[in-house]
Amino acid sequence: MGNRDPLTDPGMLVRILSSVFSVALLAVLAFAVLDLGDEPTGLTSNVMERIDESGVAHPPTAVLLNFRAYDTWLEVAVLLLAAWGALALRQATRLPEQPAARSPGPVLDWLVRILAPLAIVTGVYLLWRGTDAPGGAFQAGAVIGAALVLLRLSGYRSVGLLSAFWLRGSLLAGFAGFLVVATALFLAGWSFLEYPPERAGLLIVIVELLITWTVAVSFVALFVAARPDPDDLGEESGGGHV
Amino acid sequence: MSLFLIYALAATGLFVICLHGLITRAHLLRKILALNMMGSSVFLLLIAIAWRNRIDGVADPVPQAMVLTGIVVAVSATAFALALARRYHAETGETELSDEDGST
Amino acid sequence: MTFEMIFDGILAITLVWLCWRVLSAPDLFKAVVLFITFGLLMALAWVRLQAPDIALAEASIGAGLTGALMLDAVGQITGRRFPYIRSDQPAGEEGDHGQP
Repeated sequence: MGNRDPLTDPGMLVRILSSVFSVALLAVLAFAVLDLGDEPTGLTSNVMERIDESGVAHPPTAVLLNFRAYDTWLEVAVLLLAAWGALALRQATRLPEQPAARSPGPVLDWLVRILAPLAIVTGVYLLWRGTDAPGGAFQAGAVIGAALVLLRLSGYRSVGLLSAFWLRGSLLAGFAGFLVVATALFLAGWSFLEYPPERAGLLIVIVELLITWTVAVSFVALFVAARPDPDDLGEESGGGHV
Repeated sequence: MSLFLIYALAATGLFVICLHGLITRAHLLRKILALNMMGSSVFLLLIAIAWRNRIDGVADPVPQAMVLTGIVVAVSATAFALALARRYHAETGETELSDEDGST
Repeated sequence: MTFEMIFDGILAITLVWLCWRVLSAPDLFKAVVLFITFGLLMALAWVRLQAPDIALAEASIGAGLTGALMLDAVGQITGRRFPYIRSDQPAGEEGDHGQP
């Protein structure tokens, strides 16, 4: 890196070109933002008009699981693909157990015994409240997933106990739940991913429960599968977890 | 200077800084960090616009729901990128993508 | 120029500054810690913009999960472990134990 002459050092040239480009882009973007004008547009009024039909009282949850359920459904598919891809990189069909050598110290152990149940309760509460207050399936799933990761890191057994079948089932639950509900309603005469207003609340809670579990397990899978420990890899490619 | 302008301009600044970082930083983890924060900057702009379009104190829930799904997609993409980068590191011992031509 | 305005201005500037520091800090571990701080401040910005749902998601997913993933990756790639987990390797040179 001693060479700082942009004419001979390609790295320096890239830096300078990128800086110039960035400043130009900043000017363009800032102008675009300043040029937006004061007229409020958007879909707030449309959502508020029909929120009574959605089955939930909290506008973002209504959009997420009813009005724009299609986006959410495909987003769960993205999560499924990422978790499945990460597991495939490890050639794992189950989440391997944390090696026993990583046993926690007494302080961590005590803390985890308090924090993990508390986090799981918080997650369930977030899910429950999500219908009429901030919260919902994704936040709840993230908190529960964090609790499961914490348990795992401190040597407790949680999602590692899931068999290959149940692990796949858990990753698939949110996507499949959406699909089953949507197909059933479609066959009953509604259009795809449209809920009947009087049953919407119940259906949304069912779908949210499944999404919560999928999000939690997917996050643990993403966290675990990201660690390619050499010994684990050897053990994995040796096939068959027993 | 409204709340919207403050955060929208911050979002443009973040986006540009992250783009610059993505181009100039060679370390893979640094690139992943830059990509993740770049996503955050776009979310910030969307949420600032949602705040600007509020009616009777209710911010536009449609961009909010989109950002919520976006955050989950971003973390999935980041985690998958990290898994790839770590596998790459485990296989080759490198932390930067090497150019076969040696052009950069 | 109200108190809230000043708060928002400081928050926005801090976000941009943190982003710059994440990408330029020489130590990767420090960059990741700054990245987690960035995520938490972003959650604060979302509370300010009336998006508490996203603030919750950002605090748990953006800062929490992504931060943990990043720390774990930095630990593997630079050979540094989580400082709060007893490693199965002998105490490293960066350990907090006194000189033997």
